[in-house]
Amino acid sequence: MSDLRVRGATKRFGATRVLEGVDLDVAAGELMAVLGASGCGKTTLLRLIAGFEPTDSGTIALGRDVISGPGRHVPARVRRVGYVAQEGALFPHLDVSRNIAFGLTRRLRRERARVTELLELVGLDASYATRYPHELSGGQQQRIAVARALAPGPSVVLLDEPFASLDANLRQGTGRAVTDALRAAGATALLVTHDQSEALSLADRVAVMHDGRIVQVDSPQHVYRRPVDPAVAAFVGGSVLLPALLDDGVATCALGDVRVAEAEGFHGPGSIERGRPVQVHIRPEQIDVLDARERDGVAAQVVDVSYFGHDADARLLLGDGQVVVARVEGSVVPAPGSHVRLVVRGAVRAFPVANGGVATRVPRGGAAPSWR
Amino acid sequence: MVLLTLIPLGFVVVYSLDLGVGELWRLLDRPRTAELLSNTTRLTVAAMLTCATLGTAAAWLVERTTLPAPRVFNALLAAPLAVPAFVNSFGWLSLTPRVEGFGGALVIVTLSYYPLVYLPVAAMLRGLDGGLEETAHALGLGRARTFARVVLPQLRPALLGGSLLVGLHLLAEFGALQMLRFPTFTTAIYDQYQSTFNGPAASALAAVLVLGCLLLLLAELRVRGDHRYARVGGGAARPLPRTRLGATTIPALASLSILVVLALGVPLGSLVHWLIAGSSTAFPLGTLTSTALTSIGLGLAAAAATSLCAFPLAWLCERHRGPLSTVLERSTYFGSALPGIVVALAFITVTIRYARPLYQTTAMLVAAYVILFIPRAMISQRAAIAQAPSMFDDVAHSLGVGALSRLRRVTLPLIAPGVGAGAALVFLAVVTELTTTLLLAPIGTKTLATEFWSNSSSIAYGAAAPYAALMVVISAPATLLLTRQLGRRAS
Repeated sequence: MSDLRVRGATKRFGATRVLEGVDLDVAAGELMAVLGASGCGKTTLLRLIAGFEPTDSGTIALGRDVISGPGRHVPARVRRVGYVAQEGALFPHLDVSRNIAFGLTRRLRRERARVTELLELVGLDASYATRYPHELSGGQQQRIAVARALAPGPSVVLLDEPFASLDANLRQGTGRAVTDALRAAGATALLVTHDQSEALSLADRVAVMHDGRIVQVDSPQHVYRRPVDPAVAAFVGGSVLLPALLDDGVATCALGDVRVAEAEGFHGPGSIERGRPVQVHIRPEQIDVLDARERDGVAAQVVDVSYFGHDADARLLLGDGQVVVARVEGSVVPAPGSHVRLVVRGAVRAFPVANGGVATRVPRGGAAPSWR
Repeated sequence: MVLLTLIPLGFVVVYSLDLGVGELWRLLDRPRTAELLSNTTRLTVAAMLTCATLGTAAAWLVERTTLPAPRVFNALLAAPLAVPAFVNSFGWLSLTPRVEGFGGALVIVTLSYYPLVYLPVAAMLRGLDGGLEETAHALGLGRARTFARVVLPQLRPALLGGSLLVGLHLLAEFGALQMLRFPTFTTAIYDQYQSTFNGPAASALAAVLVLGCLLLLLAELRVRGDHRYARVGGGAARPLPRTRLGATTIPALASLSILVVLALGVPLGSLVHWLIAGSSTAFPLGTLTSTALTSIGLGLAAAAATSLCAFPLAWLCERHRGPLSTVLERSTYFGSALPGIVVALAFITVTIRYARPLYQTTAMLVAAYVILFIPRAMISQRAAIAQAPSMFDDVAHSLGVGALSRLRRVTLPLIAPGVGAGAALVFLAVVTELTTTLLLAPIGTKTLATEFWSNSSSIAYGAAAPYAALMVVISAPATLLLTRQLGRRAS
């Protein structure tokens, strides 16, 4: 297993620029997720690394070998890169054992032990070896595809939205089994996905991609808690943005005074400036909804509630006409129209005000909103 | 390759231009032409209508009602495809001479060609989303109005496409109509050619015939191109409720059984009858074997050549879709939709003028078969290539497998069945092909079809029957294949 380094990779198809100088480092044995909306270029990045397409400029290196660079394009079949396609792409005319052994040399193909070992690695019984792809569920097909990719001992494994075509109830279990297998094999892996919960729950680190660029690479917790800009913040989870005035680590906004976490994103001398206009970014689960008789917090009225069972999103109208979303427990859902008080818990993020104006975004339901 | 398929069309166009409009008109402006035009048009339009009605009604009964044994009927109703139209008319004619003329011709071609409508319509009915009809019922539409306003519009591509295919077959039909003494353009071209050896009159008639074909083809392309009824939204299609026949079960069963008897029972029965009656005369085992071997040999050669020629085109159309591949595909399609008689005439003229050594050779005959039947191979091959998407290439590549090994281990195993099916269909078509073989076969080359033809033309029914029976036996398995494919295409 080797580390993967991408430097300044660009790619255009005709007049469309798909990748505009991508830098990415994946350490040996690390599972990195590339998270982005569809069309952001993440699959293209994967195909460049796999060698299915040549890069326009920039370099890609695996360990000490430059596999893509100026005047150099190592063909895919000698790169030792494992590839797992979206629908698994198991060869329909071969049974499971011959699919897994496909990339092995003729001599190794005859050995049953390696196939059994790989089946075990992805959490499947040896009895699956003689089945054909059409006899497997979608999740099992994906596990076999991973086993097939791991069989020849690749330097890095690339997974292209491997769970996107699975039913929701299969997705989590398959994701866990696949990442366990990758970790057990000590594989360096790059997982491309548009599903933020998948990226956050499975990967060691997450690279957020937007419009052909990597905008943030961080641990899942940091990507969620310390997004670099409002767009990343909104993409990885529910998000409330409010205009505020920053004064010595405390921002004053429509939800009262909130503590700003070390004023991250404000580098340089202006960072502790008094009375500076900012945007504060608050996660819906940071907003506590209290009874109207409480003295703390600011008054609000419940507009409506989206109930999910385990929890619920309440849309709340503030005194100044702004609407914010709070995530409440499923057992204590406030009634629409009722009066409540809101308190912000914990530190929040503050971002510089873009173009002097302030945007309030109130995504519904905490699902991934779009970038714009 | 594509140029080859365009030879017949080019021949007609060049020839007509050469002749000039005035001369062409002089050749065509005869009472005989008017009669041929009237005959051809009447028969084509009438048969398209009867096939559409019969095919749709049968398909509805089999697919959408509680008719007993629908699977058996499905197979039986498609089976007439295994009996060439000229064998069918032989069967009828040897029973009664009263089937000669328009009425008889209409009945016999309808019985021979209605499966071309039945199969795609049945497949379409099978694939319809029952939810749509339930929605129509919920909106207050009765059963009849639901059929007219919801079901029929969805059947349109299959119904029109199938009917136009019937029309194209009829314009090209020679054997059956010649036997029934119902002159159309195709039979007249043959007669002209036989009496005056490729006179300008035959070519002028061919030009009119080609015009008719092109009109039908354009209509078919429009039908195919404009209308795609996709199901909107995800989720599984609801299975279809079947209409209860109740008391009408017996009449429905009876009418379908009569149809099967007329379309299948009569020709096969009379073949059996003549086989038995003819066995009193000496059974020509030697000739029978040699002609069967010739037919099979020609069929195999044509199947191999057609598959080879079709493959690059099919690959291009599936893997590198673009304006160029579309143009190439369409041109083979146009070239191949021309009647066998026009293809044969074109080959004779072209070889006599420019490639004399090729005239009356087996190679030329096989080349004509390639032109006529390349779309059959293409359809199967394209479906097969679609089963092996380029994603598999990527995966194989990433697993360190080189191009040659990939071809052997992935691509070939995946596409082989489809390529084989296409070849089988070409084989079937060649074994039962009559018109082109009659005109182009080298002197002394006798196939099952031509031997059958020469015997039945001299009213030696007993002697003709074994050849027809062999043709049916040889073509039966491939027909089953064609049945499945036609059934799938529309769904």
